Amino acid sequence: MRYSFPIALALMLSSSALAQTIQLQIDNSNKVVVSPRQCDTTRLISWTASTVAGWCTDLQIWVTAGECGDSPGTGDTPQFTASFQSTDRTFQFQVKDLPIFHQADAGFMCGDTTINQVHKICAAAKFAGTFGTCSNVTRGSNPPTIEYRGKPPPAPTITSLLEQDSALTVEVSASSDVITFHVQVREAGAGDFVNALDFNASAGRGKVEGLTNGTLYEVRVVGEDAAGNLTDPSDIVQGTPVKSDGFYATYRREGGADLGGCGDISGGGMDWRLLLIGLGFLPLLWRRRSCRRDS
Amino acid sequence: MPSRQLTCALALVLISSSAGAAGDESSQRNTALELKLGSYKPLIDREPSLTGTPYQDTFGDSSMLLFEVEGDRLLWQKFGALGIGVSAGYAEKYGRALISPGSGSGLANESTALKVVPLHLLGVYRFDVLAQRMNIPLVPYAKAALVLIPWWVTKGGKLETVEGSRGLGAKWGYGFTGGVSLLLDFFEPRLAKDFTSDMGIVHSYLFAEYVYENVNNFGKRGLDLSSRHWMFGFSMEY
Repeated sequence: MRYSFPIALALMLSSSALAQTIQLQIDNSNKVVVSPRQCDTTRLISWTASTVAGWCTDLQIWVTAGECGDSPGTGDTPQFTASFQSTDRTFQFQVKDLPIFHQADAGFMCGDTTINQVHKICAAAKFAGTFGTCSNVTRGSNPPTIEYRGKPPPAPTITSLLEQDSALTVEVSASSDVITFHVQVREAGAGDFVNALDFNASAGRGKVEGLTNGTLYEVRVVGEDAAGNLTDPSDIVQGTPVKSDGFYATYRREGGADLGGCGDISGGGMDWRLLLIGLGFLPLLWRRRSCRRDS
Repeated sequence: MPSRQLTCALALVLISSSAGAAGDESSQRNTALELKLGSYKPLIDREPSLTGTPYQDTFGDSSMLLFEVEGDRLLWQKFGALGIGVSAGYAEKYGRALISPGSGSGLANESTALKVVPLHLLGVYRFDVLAQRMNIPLVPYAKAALVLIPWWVTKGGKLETVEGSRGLGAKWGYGFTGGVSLLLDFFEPRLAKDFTSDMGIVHSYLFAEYVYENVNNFGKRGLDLSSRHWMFGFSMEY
């Protein structure tokens, strides 16, 4: 009986501990990818907490190239401190302040095109534990990431080029980092490549239209990753659009007399509106019978 | 011979054991709904002005898979049932486009498709006297229809255009249908009664029907979407 109060208190405190969660975001997202061209751009970290009741230290937020712990490690920059009473729950930093560019022996400058590095956004705060000691730590859950991507993905590969009517359809494979393909076209051996089509990498294929049948074209593809890095061009593939006949063209070529369009409807000697009028009577028949049944 | 007699005896037992299942003439119904599938192959290649066989050249010998929904209203139910109805369906056929003569030969790297939406305004007669009065679970029927079939052709996913003519239109015609329905109530009378009391479905059927249609704007020139084909389906009467 005399132990019941401390046990109840401990349970109460531990249950509040379990409820403590800190959520972080970067640029209102859980994942951001930046390129060497974005070193001077500003990024926004925002945080929310399920409750700040019981916090006994300020909240610490930092960026690390390693794993999140209970506190920042050496070289984990930038670092921020937030009071649990603060109403502005955001912090800003520049890409060039990421830890990969601030470690004394790292040797990398922002803008380096030879490295890719994923960083995690971490947070931790202490809150009162059992018997009021300021000892329990809660961390940010599901740390968001900011990836510095200096190296572009490898060049994509054209797996097939389909020669179609005034068009070429290109099928491409590439690293999963590529999110967009840029198809570049030129007449064989003539002039510079011109960007003719952009398409989402998840589609896997794109159709370049408006080409001249019988002309030999050279096609190559450049990939772009989420950071905007462009790959080297793929190998060049050649193709010649060729005129083709769909069913209607085949029908016409073989003497079919139907000129299409809706004009041939009345050509049948009957006004198509008659059918619509006839169909319009159907609901009346339905209604008449229903009325008879009701009465 | 004994086996034939046995078969006849079994049939009689089956029919007599299910007597009364559908013989309930109080089960008035007004509406029929049919869902059906069949193979539709338009007689395009018989158009007199053609010098070749464009349907065969593009799609081969195979037919389209046609799906139709039909609703009938029964207006008279004295000796059999007479009614009117409408139906709508959809069918499409894909093939490879052909490389144009002069540019080569063979199949092109593009698909082409013929798509149709058959619409019918129907008169229906169902000879259900056998089922209603003699407990024979078969209902022969006949239909006559005014037919309208909108059609269109695509190549490479887009409407095909040839020398300014767009590959779409609609064809008028007429058709006759003969078929026979198998009344399912005979096989599960209790379930059939539950259907009636719970869902208002008075009878349900499986059916097969033969369709004879001339859809060429009543003999005018142009695309001939006539056909002779079988349809199979399931129907319910409310």
